[in-house]
Amino acid sequence: MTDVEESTVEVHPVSFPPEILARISPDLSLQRHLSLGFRPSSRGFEEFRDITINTGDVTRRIQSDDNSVKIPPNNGKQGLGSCVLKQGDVFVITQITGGIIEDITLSKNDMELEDDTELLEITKEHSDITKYSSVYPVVEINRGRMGACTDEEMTISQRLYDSLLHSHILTQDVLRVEPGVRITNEDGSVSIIYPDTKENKEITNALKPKKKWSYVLYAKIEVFGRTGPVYDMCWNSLIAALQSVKLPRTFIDERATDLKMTVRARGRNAVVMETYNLLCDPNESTNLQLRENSISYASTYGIIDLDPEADITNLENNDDVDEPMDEGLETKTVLLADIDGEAEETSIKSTISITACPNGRFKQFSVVGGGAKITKELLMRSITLSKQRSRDITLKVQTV
Amino acid sequence: MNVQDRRRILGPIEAKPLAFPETKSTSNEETTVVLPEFQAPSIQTNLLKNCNGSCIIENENTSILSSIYGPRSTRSNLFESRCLINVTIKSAVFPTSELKELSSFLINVLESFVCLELYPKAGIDVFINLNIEQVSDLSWYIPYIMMSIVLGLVDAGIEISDLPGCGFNDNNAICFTKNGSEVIGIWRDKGDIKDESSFGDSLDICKDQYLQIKGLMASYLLSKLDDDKST
Amino acid sequence: MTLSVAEKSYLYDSLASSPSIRPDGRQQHQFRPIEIYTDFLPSSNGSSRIIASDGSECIVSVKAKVVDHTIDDDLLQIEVEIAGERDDSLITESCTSLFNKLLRNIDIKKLQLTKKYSFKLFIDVLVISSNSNPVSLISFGIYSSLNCTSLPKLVSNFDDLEVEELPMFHDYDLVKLEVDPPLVFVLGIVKNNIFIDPAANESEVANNGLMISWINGRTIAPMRTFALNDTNTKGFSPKLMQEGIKLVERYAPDIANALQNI
Repeated sequence: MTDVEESTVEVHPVSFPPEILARISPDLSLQRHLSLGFRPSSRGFEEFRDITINTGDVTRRIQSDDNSVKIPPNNGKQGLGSCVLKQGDVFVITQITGGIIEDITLSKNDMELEDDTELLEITKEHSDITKYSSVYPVVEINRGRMGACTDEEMTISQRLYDSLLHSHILTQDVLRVEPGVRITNEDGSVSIIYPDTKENKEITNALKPKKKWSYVLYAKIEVFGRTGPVYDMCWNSLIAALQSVKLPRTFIDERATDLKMTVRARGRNAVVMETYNLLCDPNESTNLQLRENSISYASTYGIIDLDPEADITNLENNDDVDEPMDEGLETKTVLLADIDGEAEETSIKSTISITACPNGRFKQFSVVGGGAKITKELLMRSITLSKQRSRDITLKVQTV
Repeated sequence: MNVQDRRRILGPIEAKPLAFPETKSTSNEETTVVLPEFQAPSIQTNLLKNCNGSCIIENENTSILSSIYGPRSTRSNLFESRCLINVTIKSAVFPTSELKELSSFLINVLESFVCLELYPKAGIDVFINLNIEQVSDLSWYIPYIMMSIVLGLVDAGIEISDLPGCGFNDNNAICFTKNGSEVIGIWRDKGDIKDESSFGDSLDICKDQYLQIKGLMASYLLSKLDDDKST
Repeated sequence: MTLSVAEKSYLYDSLASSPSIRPDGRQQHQFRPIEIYTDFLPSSNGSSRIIASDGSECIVSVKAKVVDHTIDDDLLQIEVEIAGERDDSLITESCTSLFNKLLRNIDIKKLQLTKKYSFKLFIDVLVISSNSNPVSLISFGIYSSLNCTSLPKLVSNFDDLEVEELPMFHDYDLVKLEVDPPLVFVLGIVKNNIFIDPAANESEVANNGLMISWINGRTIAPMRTFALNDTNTKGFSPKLMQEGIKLVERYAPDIANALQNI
């Protein structure tokens, strides 16, 4: 204030340390990083985050021979399969639980048709989505808030459900319940007969009720430490968890199969009792049969136009910023694999999401335009990368 | 209750959960079941990036993840001269009302050792995720839960007056502080208290366990400090 | 209740002194006077209304239903509602969970009607107003309502495993339910003193609270500590727990007696 005469104020360029710039202008920060040839996370353009997968870790021990393991009566919420996936700093825990539903769509009249399933398959394979099934996913992204689910959680859940259904990985047939029959022998011992052998099949067929049941699968997917878009991780974790699913075998008590008994029971109680109580065998289970060649893994790519103005090398050469930029400067477009971090998530509007099988078949492919110049080469490149990534994840899942 | 949450894909309502037959010996087993002894778990802090502090405590069948958010501003318009603590426990195994009871117990325990006066007009939210494979009584998990909360708070840089801990013996989960000279909480869910002396014995065992846990936590924190220095 | 800093300090010091001086001159083990009315709801099997001297009030109703205990073995179900609190609020849910655990101590064989059927009791608790922690009040309410519960008299056969019939009841006669209901005592801790039934102003300065359950001469689970206020909570000497247990064991029979004589 002492120097009142000085009329011109000198403007100093303000500079920020990288962390602060990343907060106040993620866009610029990202461009600056990219111009130097790497990403804010110091990954290369086409570098994925490291991924580790553990399946069957948090599962209830269905087939344990250790007698000391007490089978917990935890309200039928038992996990059938699970997966803990860690990608970068993000954890995804998926737990698969199950339920049983009476199949109304398949009434007794379909019995004859059932023998012709092969024929049915040939004629209808291309159109009939009803033959395939999905799991019911609930995605929870932990971010220290309580209350209603967020849009992101709802969108991802819906997307997982639809993608899984259309990926044809689960057929309705494998979810069909083949109940055994629990028989009390003459000496009082109890045994369960499953329709595995021909002989047993005859017995169970004779005792089996005319109803049909199916398993329903639920997936609870919890995301911890979200740092960027999480759809890929949820999908990959769900697929890995599904491969670890063991369905418990179910049986009906021989007495419950007897129609007369149930009628009597009803008269005695004056309440409608559960006529057929399907019980699960704690000792026997089968692996869930997935369609192997439909197992696919997801990856996401971002496409961004490099802004020549943000290029640090340019900046240093051009001291005078006011001068019009070189018209000849070509905007370059780059492909970034596996988007992560705040800067990338907010600044990259054009994305490609690919769900691919390791053998190169695609289950899902979506491109969001978002204004960037998406060239044929970039698309090709993303496809190649997605195949590689899929193969990579397959190996990780298998080695578990 | 028959209104389904339409925001989530919960599947058909008619579906029934898988029912396992009740084992005949359940009732006998329940009384004789011996809860596993305290096992030194593996500890890891600072693993989640979107919260202020986190800690995972794992042993063979259990993993307990705590994530601490805060101190951060609260939604309330009132001026609070002290920090508000909230604890939320998530688990698929235990009924929600029991978890809420435990949360309110833990809030009370936390209030006695977190320096709340230092964070006026703020809130600390503690989220606990229990991933349990082999189920014991809820009270059996309290020592581990306490451990994960305390280390999570340390990781978040929230000031606490001591490294408190909890021991479990004879259905008592007793939380101590100040080297066992003070009790900050007791949780007992079942079993009669026969007489004072047996209760006193169990108190001493809990205290020993607390000192053991305190040692574990201290050595973990010190080794972490060394690691941080060297890098 | 909001006390000024000076009031709190005065109250704390007098409670912490030895022997402790309670603001209303009560002794360590003394309860505030309570009023109890029983059997006032005509449509339930047993009911009670309990009013504490500070105006806290609670209504308990017991209703019964016949269930097949081979299917449903959860024969006591309690629902707590606290006026001014949401159903899913921390305090309501904790109370419900606490009392459900407490009632597991009741011998459910007493509810058995026949080899197949039992009464299932639904206990509904409504706390109309509460100035201090309502747990003790609720437990007294449950105690007195269970004590005055009468259930229809069974006239059909006890052994109905082979015979297919539903239990039949007498048109008019009722049988008194004979169970030992548990009681919960709330104790306040101030420095090195422990006392039963802290009033609102005592709760305000207490360092901690201890909850001890008791049934027919035995100290039982659940046992808990819980903060009586959110500003003064501190640790306490382990000895105080034993002292609390001793205190309850000594005076609980008298209280049970008093409640039984209503």
